[in-house]
Amino acid sequence: MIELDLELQRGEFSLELSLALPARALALFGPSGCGKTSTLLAIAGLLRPQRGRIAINDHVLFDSHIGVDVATARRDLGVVFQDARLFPHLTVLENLGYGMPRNATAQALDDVVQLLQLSTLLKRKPGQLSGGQIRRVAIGRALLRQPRALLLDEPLANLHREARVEVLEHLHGLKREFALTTILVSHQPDEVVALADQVARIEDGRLAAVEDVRAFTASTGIPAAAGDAHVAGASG
Amino acid sequence: MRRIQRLAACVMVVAACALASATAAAAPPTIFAAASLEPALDQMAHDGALGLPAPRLVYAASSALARQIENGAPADIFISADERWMDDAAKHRAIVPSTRSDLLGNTLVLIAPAGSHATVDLAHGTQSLLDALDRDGRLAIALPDSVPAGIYARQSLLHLGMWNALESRMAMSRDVRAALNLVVLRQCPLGIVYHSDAVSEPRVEVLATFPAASHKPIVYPVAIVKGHDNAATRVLLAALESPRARSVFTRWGFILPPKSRQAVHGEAEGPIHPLRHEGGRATPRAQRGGSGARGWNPMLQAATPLIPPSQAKGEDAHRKWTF
Amino acid sequence: MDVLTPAETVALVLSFKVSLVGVVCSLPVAIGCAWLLARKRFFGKPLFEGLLLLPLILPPVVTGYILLIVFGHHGAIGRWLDAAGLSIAFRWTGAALAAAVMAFPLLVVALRNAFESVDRRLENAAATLGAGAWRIFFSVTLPLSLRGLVAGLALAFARAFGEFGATITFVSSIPGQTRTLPVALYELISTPGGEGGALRLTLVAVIVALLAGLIAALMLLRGGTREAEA
Repeated sequence: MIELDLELQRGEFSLELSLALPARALALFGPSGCGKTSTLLAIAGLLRPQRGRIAINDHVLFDSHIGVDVATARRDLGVVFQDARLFPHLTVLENLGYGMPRNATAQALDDVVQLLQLSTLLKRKPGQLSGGQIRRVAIGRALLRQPRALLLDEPLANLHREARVEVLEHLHGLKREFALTTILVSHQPDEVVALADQVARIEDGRLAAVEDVRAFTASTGIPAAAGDAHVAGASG
Repeated sequence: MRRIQRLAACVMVVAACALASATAAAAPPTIFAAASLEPALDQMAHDGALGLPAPRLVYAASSALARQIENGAPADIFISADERWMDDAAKHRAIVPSTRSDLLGNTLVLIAPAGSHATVDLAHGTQSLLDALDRDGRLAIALPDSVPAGIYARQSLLHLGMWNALESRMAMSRDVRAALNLVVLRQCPLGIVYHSDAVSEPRVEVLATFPAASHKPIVYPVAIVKGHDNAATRVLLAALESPRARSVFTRWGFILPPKSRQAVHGEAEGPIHPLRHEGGRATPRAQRGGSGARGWNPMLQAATPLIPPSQAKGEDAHRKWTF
Repeated sequence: MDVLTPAETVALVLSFKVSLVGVVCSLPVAIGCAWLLARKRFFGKPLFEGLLLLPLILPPVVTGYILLIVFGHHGAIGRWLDAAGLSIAFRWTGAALAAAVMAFPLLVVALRNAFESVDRRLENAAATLGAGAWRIFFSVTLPLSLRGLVAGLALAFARAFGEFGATITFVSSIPGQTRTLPVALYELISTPGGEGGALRLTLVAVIVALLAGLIAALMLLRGGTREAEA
């Protein structure tokens, strides 16, 4: 269950959003500048809404009425930023392990490394990685936090075609393996179609529509297989 | 807008230059004086005894002043706290030798913060001083290699056989007034300063006087700085040597310079005056006999009795002549 | 060392000791202040900044005098130190304090710049990964600002090494305890015939300053082009 009810003001930009969905993978879809990244940052605790309530699977992260504002570090979320934000002074392995809970097993680390095909990159530093590799490490790092929800900000942005395909495949794999609640921010329909089961369209800081991904697919007219065999009606 | 700003900047620069040169032209005479002369000279300047406009008074250790004058600092008159630095200035041709004379003398005293109840007996050795210093107290003196007060202090302590024991227990300051201050602030339980310093500072008390025989005579030579020998400066020099100035100096704990010095000048008229003024000239150093060595024998000095500050202030200058 | 007299060598070694101890001990405080200035907003921040810069603006002798009446015997803090047997008056520890105080503003400014140059987005990312403020500082901010930190330390050390006015006013000159190189230099300049020694010590001081400047420049040059990577 994803509850997002917030009002956010940043300079001249204002965002107002209210939705509550039993979604496992929600996409916030809209053009650049419509407020979707700000929403993601607010969910992560890096931006404070003027008022509202944010709750994921009944864990309240923010509620201005009752004065709850959980610190970012304790929101237990895995965030994959659009600019990845890998720590440049740490190796891939150290980056991956940064947010791992203390009781995590070595197996968990192995699983993610295998899944994202990072085993040959573990000793490198971010400066020695390609765009796609960086993105994968960022995803792996967020996953290894074993969060209660995954937040993805434009996961396929600025990637070459091959890298897009590569990362998308991995994201699909993750979806199958982990069944994590996911909130995805994107302005590209193919990402949305591939990963989400519910879509919230945002325009000009307002919620324009909330629809099932199938309805979304139909309305955007994305061909079922844009060279991508994995695009199927999403889970539940 | 930029043009106006540039113009304004130019105007300000020109105005500043004009102001600076105008001020320089009308600048009052400047005396570079050893730090220990500060209270006495300040009072004289304030009372108009040094003429009007009151001269600018710059105080520091004689060593620093001498170096500065040798490097062209804009002083008109230099009063040093010892001969060595005046000699140094003369060697560097920074003073007018014919205007040099001895202005003042002084005695060296051991002080403690007022009300300290310490007693020391200089005649009976180091132990009483060490006792007064207690566990980690220090003896405040001026730098013993370079500052005159420190040089005299070391001479005295060496003469009295106390230097070796006390050397590691000292705190050495830039100049004698800084050493005085350490005792005033109770940072040091003992200090060695000039009698004139002790007189000027009610927060310290004199415990003992160092015998004049234990150090070279404390003499304050005065001279006009080279290139500044003009009417105004001569008038100022005369004012410094006048009876009025002398009475102020003695009130502040100075003594007049050794009589033997005066005899060398000869031509004394009437009652003996150590310095001639108003047209008199100090005999050039070379003629006094002994260019390097001192012209007099320190042993000629009788031990100067301790003069309680209260008496010194009221005393008439002329009575000091009897040694 | 045959190049310097024994007394000069003592002064040189003492200067190194005093400056190193002074700067290293003031580092944690400087880091704290710099971090506050770089990352936090709070009431009275400009005043706080002004106070930190005070030793840079006040005449050194004034700073030395303030140290004397606060940390000297019978001083507000000095009396407690004396009672505890930890007196710093007229000791090399006092000289270290004077040096540290005079170098402090330089250190804080350099550290602040170093912290500000660290991409906050990285710190935010660390927060989303569960790192609290301390962990973020030690695992992200500090490692990424290391070059600036070293540069700041080099400059602060050089400043501490050359400190004179506050030192001689606060702890006077005591050979082996507080007669640091600059103090010894001053004495030599004040002594007729001391020019030879003064020149030697001047050369040493210049070499130390140049080395420190070189280290700082190297650190800042190579560090400046590094940006936080995605």
